[in-house]
Amino acid sequence: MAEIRLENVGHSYDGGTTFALNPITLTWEDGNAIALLGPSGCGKTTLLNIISGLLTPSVGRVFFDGVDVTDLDTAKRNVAQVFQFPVLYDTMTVRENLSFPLKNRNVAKDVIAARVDEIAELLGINKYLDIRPQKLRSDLQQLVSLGRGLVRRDVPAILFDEPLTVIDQNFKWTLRGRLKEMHNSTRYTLVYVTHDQTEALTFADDVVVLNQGNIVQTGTASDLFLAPQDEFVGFFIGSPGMNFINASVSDGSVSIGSTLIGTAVAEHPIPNGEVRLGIRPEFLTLSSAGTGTDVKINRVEHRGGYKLIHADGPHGNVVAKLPNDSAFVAGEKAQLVFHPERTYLFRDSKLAGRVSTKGAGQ
Amino acid sequence: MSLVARQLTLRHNGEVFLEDISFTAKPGITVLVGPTLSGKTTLMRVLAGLIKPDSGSITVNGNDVGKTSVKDRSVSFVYQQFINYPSLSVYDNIASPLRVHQPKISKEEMADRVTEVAKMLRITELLDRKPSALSGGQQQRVAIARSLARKSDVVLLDEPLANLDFKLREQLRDELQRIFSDASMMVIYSTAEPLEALDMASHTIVMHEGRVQQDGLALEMYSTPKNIPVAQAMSDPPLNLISSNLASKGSQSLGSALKDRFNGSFTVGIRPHNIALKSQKSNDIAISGKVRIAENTGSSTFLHLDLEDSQKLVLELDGSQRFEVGSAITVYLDHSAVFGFDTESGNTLFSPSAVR
Repeated sequence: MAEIRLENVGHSYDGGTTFALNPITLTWEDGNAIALLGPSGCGKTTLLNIISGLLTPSVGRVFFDGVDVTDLDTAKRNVAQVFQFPVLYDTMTVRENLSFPLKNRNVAKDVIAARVDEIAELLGINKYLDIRPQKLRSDLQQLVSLGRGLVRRDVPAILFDEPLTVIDQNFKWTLRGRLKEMHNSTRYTLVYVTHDQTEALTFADDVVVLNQGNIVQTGTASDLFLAPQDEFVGFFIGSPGMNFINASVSDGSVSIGSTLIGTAVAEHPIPNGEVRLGIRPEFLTLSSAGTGTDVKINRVEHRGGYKLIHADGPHGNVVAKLPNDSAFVAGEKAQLVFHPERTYLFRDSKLAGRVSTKGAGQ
Repeated sequence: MSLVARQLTLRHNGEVFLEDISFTAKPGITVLVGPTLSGKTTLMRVLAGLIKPDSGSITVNGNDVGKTSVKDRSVSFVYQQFINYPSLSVYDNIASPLRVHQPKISKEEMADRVTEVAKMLRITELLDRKPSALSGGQQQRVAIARSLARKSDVVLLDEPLANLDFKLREQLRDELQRIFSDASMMVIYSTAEPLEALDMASHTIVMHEGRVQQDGLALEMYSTPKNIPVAQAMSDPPLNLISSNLASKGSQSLGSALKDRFNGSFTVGIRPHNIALKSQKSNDIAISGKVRIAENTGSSTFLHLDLEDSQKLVLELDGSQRFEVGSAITVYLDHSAVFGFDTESGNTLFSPSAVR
């Protein structure tokens, strides 16, 4: 497979008035699994289509292993693709469908047979090899489509466009695991577009988060979860996303209203003024100790394995993820307890530093 | 007000689509939850009058609607794939069912209704636009607004959030709950997602293979499911199912460690978040396996293990944790969180005593 490099690549669908994808430069190493994650309209599909050759970018150049492929169409770029819905030949059996991309390139019969068996085994579709896809449920058909995408080894990359959309909730868990195992053992170059953060985070070595045509952050699941560089990443990653609370910095001290909650820790000192505190529901606790920032609990959601406590305060609404044995009820008053290391400071929606708190009962 | 379905059955070419479906829906939300092909959409279409059942009856507010034509039923339907009239403005899209079903309504009242539902769904500023100029989430809001404008007795929402972005889903789900919780209509809402059913926290019906499996509150079915299909329909990540004959460390088998709950051979069910890497209570049940993969979302790590006898186990752990693929590991099942199922029938033998 290949290294993918984009140099100043951007795209406008309206002749340059607005850019669906603002010019970007990046390199994805050979053998990595990359996920492009973002809400609809963020530019992720545009970016995928530029890589596959379905779309020629308005500006910039695309390189596979150092070779400029910008002007080559999809067929000449030789990439494998898996789409949102199954794309299969109904007149062929599953085996013939899986063999087709190899047969088309004159691969030896015994090599094809072995490769098809290997892929069918990986995806758990061996028992369907001799029937026609139209006899299968739509999620099994999609598995066959995935298999067709994976069957060739001589492609620079395999591109996936929301491939698990039609897959049943329960089966998604199995399939995601199998894709990850496949990647662990083959180290193919994979590019995967999705709006589902769980899929992106669990699948990819690197997740590229896009919003409004820009890459806002690229990183591992832990990077994006623990150290979001931008408020959008804080909000978009995590379920529910990060809480934001209005606060202020004065000579290094961080306060919510008139309540001091800790000191700012930052590479560059944070000038005095308004900031937003960002804290994930996983790192926010509530106390009934009676000191600190007051909130009123307005809703307790029982999610089965944990509870989500929704609370309103004068400086913003927050959600805390607490264990099942938490006894808070709607209507009660409580105080916010900030995690000593996982409370972040944002200014102009960019990460500026974190807050060192004294932990419980500040 | 109520909608009562009695013994609805639908078969086609010997295949069962719906079998003996009976339930009562009161004003507010009734959630239909179940996997793909469990019969949710078929049931909705029968309730709407789009398909005639082979047998059974549907009564709305005491009146049998079996012979009422679709047009004359007080039912609105919202599909998974949002449908709007592309040539009409958002305003006219919302007003269209009123024009068809209540032609005598005055212009003023129509305007009032459209503005009222538009406000509810926060699309007031979009009323003059065409659907093509809207995002997917906005288009689905328009489709839902249209279903509300008519003030039908019954509103059917067939997986209305399935085609939306993950984040939009979270947001719209909260709003739908707010909109429908004080509504006077009967809202039937279908979903394949357990968390959605738990979030709605209302009357829930679990379907599997065309049958109603259990009927009650979502959390009840999460904590005391009647059988494996119900437990699975209410679990995300999926419930682990392993044999009680598997070896446990320190005692003969999983089954013998659980013989205070059930004596004999059975299927052990345990949710991924109820298994830990360290023993926390003296009666935790130790089990050994090999690391297959670890998936990390930042918030949690899903650790997949291969057990003996080619059985599998998934753990949900807090935070990001790293594991070496292929390494041996011992994990601990929380004794008080275990379910027991009859291996043959899938029926529940015992459930945890509290919500776990």
